[in-house]
Amino acid sequence: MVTSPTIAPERIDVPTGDEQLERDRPWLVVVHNDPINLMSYVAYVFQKVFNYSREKAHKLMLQVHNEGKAIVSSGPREKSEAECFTLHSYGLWATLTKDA
Amino acid sequence: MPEFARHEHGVELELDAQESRLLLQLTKEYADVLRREQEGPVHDRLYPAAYGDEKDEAAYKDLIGDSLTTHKLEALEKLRNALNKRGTTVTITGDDFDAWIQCVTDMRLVIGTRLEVDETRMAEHVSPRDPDAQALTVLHWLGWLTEGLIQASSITEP
Repeated sequence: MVTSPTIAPERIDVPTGDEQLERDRPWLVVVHNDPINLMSYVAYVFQKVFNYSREKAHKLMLQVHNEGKAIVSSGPREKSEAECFTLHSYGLWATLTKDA
Repeated sequence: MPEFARHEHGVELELDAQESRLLLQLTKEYADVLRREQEGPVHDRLYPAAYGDEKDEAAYKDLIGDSLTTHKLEALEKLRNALNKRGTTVTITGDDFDAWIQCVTDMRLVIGTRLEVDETRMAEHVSPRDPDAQALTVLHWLGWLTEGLIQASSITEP
């Protein structure tokens, strides 16, 4: 799994308002449709990785299938990277993007 | 065809001897892919880019290092060990369950990416005259295996 990167002391400085805002904007974990993975498998992965209910996982899977992609999770960068890694370990096509 | 039964601690999978051999053969081919293919469409599908931005992606790949490969190899070993030890009747429990479906999924991704399948082709019946008939049949068989394992797992309980 992804380990948390340690921050060198010299990198800790007082953020300006803009930087703080930029940092607070969450990262989005996006899953893209692919022609190989099974719909039931994708729904299973959403249940397993995010602990989503069967209904929520199924709805997200259908969104991926019908719209080509879906935001499946959002949060701080390190958490989103860890989730993206886990989705890759399940063979899902996941990417990270900053919330607009 | 494989048979699936819910087991007290997981899923019991029953293969015939030919299916068990096929699965072992596929794990060997998959291990070769993990070892040899360092670029190209199959590699890119097994190791998708997390970021669109090149710098972010390079930093992410530095951070994860070999951990995704290590994970894939560990899953592969679990599947191989079970098949070598148990042959045709395999009880898949605990963490091994996800190792199995991840490994089988990766093998499907390798075959499907090589064949450049799209959703239309995946939905079609395989014609015996299709030059890719054998690979497509294996791809669908592995899909059937995945589907059966998931249906037999408790997570799909209402």
